[in-house]
Amino acid sequence: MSGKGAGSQVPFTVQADLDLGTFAEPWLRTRGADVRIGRGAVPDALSGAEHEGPVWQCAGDRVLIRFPWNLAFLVEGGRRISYEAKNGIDDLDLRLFLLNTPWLALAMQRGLLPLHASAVAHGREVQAFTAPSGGGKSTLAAALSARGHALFADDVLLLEPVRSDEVLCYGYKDLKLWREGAALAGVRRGGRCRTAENYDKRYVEAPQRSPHSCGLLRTLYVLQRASSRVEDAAGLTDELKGALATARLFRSIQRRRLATAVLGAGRIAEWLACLARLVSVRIFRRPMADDHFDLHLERIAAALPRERAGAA
Amino acid sequence: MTAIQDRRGLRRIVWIASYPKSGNTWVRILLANFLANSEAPVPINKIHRHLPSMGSSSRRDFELEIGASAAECTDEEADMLLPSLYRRRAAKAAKVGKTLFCKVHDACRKTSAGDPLIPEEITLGALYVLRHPLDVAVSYAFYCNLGFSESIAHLNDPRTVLAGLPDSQLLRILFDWSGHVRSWTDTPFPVLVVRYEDLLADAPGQLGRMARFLRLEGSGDEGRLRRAAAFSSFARLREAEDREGFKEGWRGLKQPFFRCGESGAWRRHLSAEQVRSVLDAHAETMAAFGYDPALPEGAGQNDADGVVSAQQSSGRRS
Repeated sequence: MSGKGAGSQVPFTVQADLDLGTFAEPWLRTRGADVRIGRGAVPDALSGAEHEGPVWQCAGDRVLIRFPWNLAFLVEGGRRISYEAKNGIDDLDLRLFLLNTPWLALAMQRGLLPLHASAVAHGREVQAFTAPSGGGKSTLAAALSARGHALFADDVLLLEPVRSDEVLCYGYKDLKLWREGAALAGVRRGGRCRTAENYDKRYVEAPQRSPHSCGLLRTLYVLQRASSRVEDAAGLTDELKGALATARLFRSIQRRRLATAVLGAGRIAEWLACLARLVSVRIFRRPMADDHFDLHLERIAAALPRERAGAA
Repeated sequence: MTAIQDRRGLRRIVWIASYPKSGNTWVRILLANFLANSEAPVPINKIHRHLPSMGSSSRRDFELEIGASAAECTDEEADMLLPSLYRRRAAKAAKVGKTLFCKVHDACRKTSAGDPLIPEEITLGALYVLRHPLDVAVSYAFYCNLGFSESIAHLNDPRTVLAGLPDSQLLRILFDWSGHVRSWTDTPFPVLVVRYEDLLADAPGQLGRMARFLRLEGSGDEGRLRRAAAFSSFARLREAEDREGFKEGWRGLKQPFFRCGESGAWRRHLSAEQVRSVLDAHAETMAAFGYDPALPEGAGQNDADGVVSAQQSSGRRS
């Protein structure tokens, strides 16, 4: 794998026959990249598939992702993504889907573990927030960015296997928000993520962005929903330790069934046990009601390091 | 209605279906307390520990089981994939010999790809919770922060949907109230209709009906049924919500989730015109299920549209 180590910015490089937008800027090369992404033949099914879900199959070092709307990807050996897009799939749609499950499968094949998390960074120190989809990660990261914390990652944080006392992680900064999330965070929305009329998620230029693609993961905040009617239930918990922390980390893995298929359950378990030792895991409970947002934003911001991006 | 058949093969899901604000949560809490059969009430935020559950429209479940991000899909794309989510859950439940109880507000309908949303081959049966549409209109208005006229417009509109993409739930397609009722009472699998008003009148008796329909062990144990009903009383649920909060309500909820829990509250809130609008639209279905569709005496004492504010998670499809 090229570009490894704390000094480098990305764990692998990519060249593609389509415009990947700003998402993967630091990862893109015009030649000599580790990974090629291009239009190519994608089978209907993988023979000898050992694991599968409704839209994916995994057989050895090949992962097939096939959506019923004429869109399919084949990810092979951590070196190539082939795509097939027919009737009505435009470049925006293609990019959005490509940079999701196929990209994660590629990262897994290259030995990286994806966490479902957004993150801000202070220098190279990364504070991440994990929650299920719709749990407010991106809105929180955007709001923190609007208040001077540098956005490090939106939605996905890729972790390196633990080889020392540091946990290396990689993020990309294409922030995507629905209208309500952007309004709550106080950020302006930009271009559309998809062209479909009834799909209104848009890209957002984060007000503060970390200049780094590679950082050191320090804290993972697990965002949990609390009732807006019981104020006592809200707030930050003490640090979770051992098995409790490991369980939380496991639930934070992005596409964890696919990750288990590609990386193996044993390897992941070992990995998480190391992570639980090195990363501070804390639960942050807060009501999802919009009128509580600012109060709880202040609470979480108060827990973050005081120095801002660029100061370290 | 015939009870469900023995559990076998992939038939592992019992759907607990209802139009929103018809008593679905209450039924699940009743069943959880019955199955728990313990000396203390099941905590309202831990129903799933005693009632093996699956969400029908949860983004989290969608992403976990489908392996794709619901946030990247259009409503139609996500809808297309939902039956495969349910099939996957049923297959997993079958492996460990479990039955799953699945709350659902969607109408029993076809997906955007034209397939049945509720696959028959994985369905054991359904409990359909039915409530007087005038009370639904009032409760739905309070829950969604809508005016009563707007709430009624939703009840009367076959294009009514619930939730939007930013929420933690996928889009749910409801139809109008009658369309919803018809969709769930004309199915190829066994359905037991449970009326909210009958639950209010005799919760242990109705719980016994459900338990027998579901072939649950202990369905003839009167003491167990009475205790489960007492643990699920409105007063207890409200008190638990005041103390612990209730996590199932949507994020814009301004009132307690367990707000009123009575029958006939519409008399205090709706105008004669509003009442007539509901009765005109749903008379046939109401009559079929024992609700008097005639304009009741005393209707029309109110003329204001009490609760009014913008509402994000309900709408209509064009």
